[in-house]
Amino acid sequence: MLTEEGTLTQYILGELDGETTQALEELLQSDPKLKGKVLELEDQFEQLGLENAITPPASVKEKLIEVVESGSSREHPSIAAQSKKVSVWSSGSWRIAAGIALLFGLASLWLFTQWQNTRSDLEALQNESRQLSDRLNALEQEIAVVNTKYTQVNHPDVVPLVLVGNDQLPGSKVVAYMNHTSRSVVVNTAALPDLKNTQSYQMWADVDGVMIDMGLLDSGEDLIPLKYIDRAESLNITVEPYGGSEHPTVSNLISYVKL
Amino acid sequence: MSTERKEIPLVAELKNGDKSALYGLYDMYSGSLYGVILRVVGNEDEAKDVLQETFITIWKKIASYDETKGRFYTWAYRIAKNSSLNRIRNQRQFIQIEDSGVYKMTEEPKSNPEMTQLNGLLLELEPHHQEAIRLVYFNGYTHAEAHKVMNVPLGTFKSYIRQALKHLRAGYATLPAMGWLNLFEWIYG
Repeated sequence: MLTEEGTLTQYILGELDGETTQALEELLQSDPKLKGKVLELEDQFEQLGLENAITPPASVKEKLIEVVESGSSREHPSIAAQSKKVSVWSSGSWRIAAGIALLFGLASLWLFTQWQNTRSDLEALQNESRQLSDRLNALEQEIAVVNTKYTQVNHPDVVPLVLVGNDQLPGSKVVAYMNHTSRSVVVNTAALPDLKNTQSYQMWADVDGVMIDMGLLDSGEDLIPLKYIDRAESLNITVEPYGGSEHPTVSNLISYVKL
Repeated sequence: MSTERKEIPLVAELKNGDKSALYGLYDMYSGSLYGVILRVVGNEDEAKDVLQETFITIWKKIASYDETKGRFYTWAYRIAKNSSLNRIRNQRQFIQIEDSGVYKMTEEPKSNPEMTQLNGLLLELEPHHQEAIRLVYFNGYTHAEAHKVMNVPLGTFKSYIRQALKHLRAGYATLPAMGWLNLFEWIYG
């Protein structure tokens, strides 16, 4: 209720919202009795203020006069702000603040540098780890190949045959590893001299007087797999035009071995 | 209370731009307003600044004061209170105790307690009536805030205010019929 004393008290104290204040002020314009009640309350509060007055320092009025007379009331300097400015700059607390800020900045810089170094070290370690891993993989593949080759030449069923060079190619030597069980043959050509680019070594199996092609020996590998020929009576190596021939050039026979 | 209002001609002169009228009103009301401001902001340096700010606002906004709506002091009091509350807006803190809806002040005024202690007929009221008036009139709390500070329902708090004003009214009625300036002289000798 607008006319309640509590509401009127709140109106005087400035607690009511704009809408309620406006409604009450309109009511007061048309209700002299209510207006009288409000004035009585206002007088009471004014009296309370007077009884509890505190004399302000003379400097406030001096400052007020200075501001009003200078016409700078719109941008008047604040007494508290001025005193605060003096106290801050004269107390030296800004030096402490600046010192703390500097320390904080240096600490941040040191931490940043450490972080960058650590990051760089980590990247280097990761690269090294990657390289080691690649090398390990390569070694494992190499071991697998060597194991395969070892098995090919060291199996109990394998028969090694040495083909020593004749007068046309003295000092040369080829070892053929034949496995009659698995029907396979591999040849080690490590002690075979290099030929011209226009020539190739070719191996033949003699079966009932007929030379049957087993394959070329110029692949550059240490152990070259060749075709296994049944009932071979001997193995023969000739020098042929590059790429090999359908029939052996007997005059270029450089080595053979009987089985 | 006497109906003699010496501020009325000063207010009229102030509305005409008379600076001396502002200084006259300052002499009349600065003590009352400073008493409120200091009790709200709780700091003398801040209070001096707010008092100056209040009279600068009065100087600049006097055209908006409508004497048909109320006393000049009430208008000036609202300016002073709002300026004070704006100044301490971030300083006053309440802690709401869980589930109880009870609030308490965590920051007591820093000003000299002897200087800001209450005076006059207010001291003759019962303590809870004094406290209710102190909160809403001298410390700038709204009724909604103050009843939580006192930890009583809003209705009870309003009853405290009503009873306090009733006692004060009766007390003031027994004072000699005189203008409020004369009353000031009577109180302070």
